[in-house]
Amino acid sequence: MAYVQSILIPASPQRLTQWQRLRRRWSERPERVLLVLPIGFLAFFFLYPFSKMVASSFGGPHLLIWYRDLFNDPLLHDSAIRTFSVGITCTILCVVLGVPVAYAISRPRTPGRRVLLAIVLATFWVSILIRAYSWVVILQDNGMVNSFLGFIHVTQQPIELEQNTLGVGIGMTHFLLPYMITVLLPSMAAIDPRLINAAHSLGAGRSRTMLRIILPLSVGGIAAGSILTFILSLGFFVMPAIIGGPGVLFLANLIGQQVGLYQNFGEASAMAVTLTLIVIVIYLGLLRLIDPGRILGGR
Amino acid sequence: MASQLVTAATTETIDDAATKALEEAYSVILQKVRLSLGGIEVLQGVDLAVRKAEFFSLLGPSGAGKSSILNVIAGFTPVNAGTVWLEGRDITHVPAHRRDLGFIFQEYALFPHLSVEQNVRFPLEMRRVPRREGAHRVQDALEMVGLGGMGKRNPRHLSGGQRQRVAIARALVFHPRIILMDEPLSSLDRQLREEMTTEIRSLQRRLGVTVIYVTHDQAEALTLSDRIAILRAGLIEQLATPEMLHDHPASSYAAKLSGPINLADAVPVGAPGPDGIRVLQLGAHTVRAPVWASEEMVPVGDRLVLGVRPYALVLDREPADTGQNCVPGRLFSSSITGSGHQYLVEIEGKSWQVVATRHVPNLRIGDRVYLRWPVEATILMSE
Amino acid sequence: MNLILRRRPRQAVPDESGWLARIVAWAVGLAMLVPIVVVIGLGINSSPYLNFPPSGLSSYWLGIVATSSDWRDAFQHSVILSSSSSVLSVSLATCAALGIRDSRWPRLWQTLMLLPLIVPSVVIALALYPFYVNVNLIGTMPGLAFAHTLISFPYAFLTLWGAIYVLDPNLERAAASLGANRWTVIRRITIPLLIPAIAAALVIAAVVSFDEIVLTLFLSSPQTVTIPVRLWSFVRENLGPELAAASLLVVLINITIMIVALLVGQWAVRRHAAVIP
Repeated sequence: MAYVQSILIPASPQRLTQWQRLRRRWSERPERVLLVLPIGFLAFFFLYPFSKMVASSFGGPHLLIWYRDLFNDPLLHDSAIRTFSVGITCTILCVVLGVPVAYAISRPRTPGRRVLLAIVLATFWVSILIRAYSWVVILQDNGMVNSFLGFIHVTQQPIELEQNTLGVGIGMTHFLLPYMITVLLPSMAAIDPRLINAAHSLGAGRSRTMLRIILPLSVGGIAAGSILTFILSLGFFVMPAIIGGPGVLFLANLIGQQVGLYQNFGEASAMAVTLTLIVIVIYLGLLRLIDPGRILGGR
Repeated sequence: MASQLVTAATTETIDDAATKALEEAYSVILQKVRLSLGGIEVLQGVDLAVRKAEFFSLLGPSGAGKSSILNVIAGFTPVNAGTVWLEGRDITHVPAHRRDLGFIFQEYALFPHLSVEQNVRFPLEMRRVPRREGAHRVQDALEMVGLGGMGKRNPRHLSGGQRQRVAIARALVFHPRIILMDEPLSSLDRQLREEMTTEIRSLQRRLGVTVIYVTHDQAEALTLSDRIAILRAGLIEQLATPEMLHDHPASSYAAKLSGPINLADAVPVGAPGPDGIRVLQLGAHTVRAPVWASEEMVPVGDRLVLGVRPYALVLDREPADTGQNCVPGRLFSSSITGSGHQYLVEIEGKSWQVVATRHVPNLRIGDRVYLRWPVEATILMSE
Repeated sequence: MNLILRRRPRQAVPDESGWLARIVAWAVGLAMLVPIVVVIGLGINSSPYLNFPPSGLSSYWLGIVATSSDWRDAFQHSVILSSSSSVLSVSLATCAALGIRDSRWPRLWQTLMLLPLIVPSVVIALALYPFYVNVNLIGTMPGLAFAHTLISFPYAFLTLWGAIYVLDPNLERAAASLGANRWTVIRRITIPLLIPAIAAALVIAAVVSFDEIVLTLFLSSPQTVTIPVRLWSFVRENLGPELAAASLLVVLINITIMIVALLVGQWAVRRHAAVIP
């Protein structure tokens, strides 16, 4: 039985109206007005031009004519297949290569793990252009790889490693790995070491522990990393252009060809809109898995 | 009489409140305050009044709503319904920075990018106190808490106890009349906590400020406070002086929070007699308990809870017929504590704790013993 | 008697990683370094061909690049763009982080702020090109500055958001209880505590702008050539050693910025330690 103290004083109005509630939210956090600046900037320099582009993707005699042309364009088909297949392959490779690296870095008793982390982070800072160009040098016919293979007599003739899709794939994987690792690290590090202890005490060896405990627990990070990697791979322009050369056209290169050419602007816009839609849909899927705010800044 | 004590200390009638002129008698009044956070009703209609220069504690387990009450008074959280009065003024819609209260946080919340001195000076700057006078007041405040020479240091390099003092200095330097403290001692170790407890109390008495103190530590609350409000799931269970809470808790929840207690179910037999004594059945045994005059304190129902404090019990080998309550049981533990002997006796399946200064000789585990206590020491609660 | 001593299999410890993981990790790590090493090697190569390992070491081409007025102009443009766009970008990002802070739909706002990062750069280029032509910003420095701001904004936002997220709300409450109104709290408490993040965001935004190629390629003119654009034209025509030397210089600049960033980070942590009281 709750004992209530009774003081009766004339009361002031008790419930707040909707209007009062809104005003209160504003007065508590007046700094929200600052949002006007970034939103204004984004609206002017991004949303407005973008919507104009979307608008110009519908038009001509027939509302969806550009989209129809798009789906009939063989060049686009090739490019799309190439982009998506390389994207998926690179993503898978990044998972396979990235998981051990993230795992090694996340375990505190790995020697030199800070150096490893520094290397991974350092590559973020080197321009993609320079990396693409260095891959050309490494993969070219008289480059490091071919010279090495010839030296140990594995091949007679130089393998064509660049100016083709394969080279682009290698370069892309190299570029995307740090992204995968960075996204994987938090979920790997968050695995409670006591769980691993428990697994060991129950008789699981190292590989079994990895398969049955660690991988399942980091599935969230792996999924998030894969989605991020795939999204990024769809937008690649520089690497295909440089490592792949004029014969290897990814979707972004196709679109790039159209910039400044007003004749095909409709079709180009349609291409751009489609690609963007795909990317956004995949991104929304990513949102369900992680909180994007924690990627760069969260500790 | 005891019942009158109850009335006077915990209830105020309309006339009393009106006559006493709110501004003079009460620092803070909460009236029917409701608060919902994230869909949960954290405060379900809280009424309380804190007197001037009183050391008032809010006691309860985590989640009971004590910190929420503090946040409401400070203005950090707006209420969903109800009124908050500060020294006679309705401040329900006044923003936090205009309420002129001191607030001490559990983790002190010292500004890490400012030195100790800059931290303490901050409220003075907000009040446009001229620099030289401000510097003096800061120095005085620091000396008052015993940190005279630490002005230039950064809070990060201070120990927990020192940070605590800086927080106190900062909250006092602008002479607020009301100070709110949210579990300020819970991050300190035991010894430091005891020291700080005495210091806080003497500081409060010296300065004559009203303190509203939140804690989950019953010993702290019972030692420091003039009055305590016990909180349970967003409502005030009981509001009384520590003595009243100890001798006449309103429920077993309140009883447990005001000290160790033995509880047992009891069934009332018949109506209370003309002398104000009720008869109850404690299992197979009959006991008697006093009844209170105040309407609100009378527990009703077929099943009541009976409570007796461990140090009100006397352990004996023989039953005695002295007009006290006497119940047989079986001894199952005997140990020596710092303050005497502690016995654990099994009665009707429940374990009763007895704290005795006298050692009863020749007792063996398993012996049949008798517990005696005065009728007035029997506490009756409805749940 | 024959005693066969068998080594007990080593007890697996949770804080360690297996040998296989380590080998793969280090292999990958070294592989990541390879292109950088290659660039360094190429830049100081004395031979006019792009062969690695270098046949001889020489700083000849480095000198050519450093004294070339074309390269100097490009560098100047890059510096102007990255400094102006990073300042603008970080200011906007701070406003955004402060504005979104206690919002009821943070993910919605975050998605909006991250759009320039999610949408592929070519798409942004395609959208901005006709728009820039219309407002006469095409091929101008201000135009490029805004474009770079747009691109680096999401990075700056992520950095600032991460810091604001972990800011102790009690610090602001304490300031309010001591008499500071909302703007004073932001000015005296929130922003000073965000200085490490602001510094980090400035560096990140500057690097993003410095390395920006796709958008710049489409929106610049011969008068507003930046380093990446100039590198691009060299790569397309594969003009050997000069390209190598220029690349090396850019990498050195990048490394310098990275070291500066690290030092700034150390200083900020020591001075401000905004995270833990």
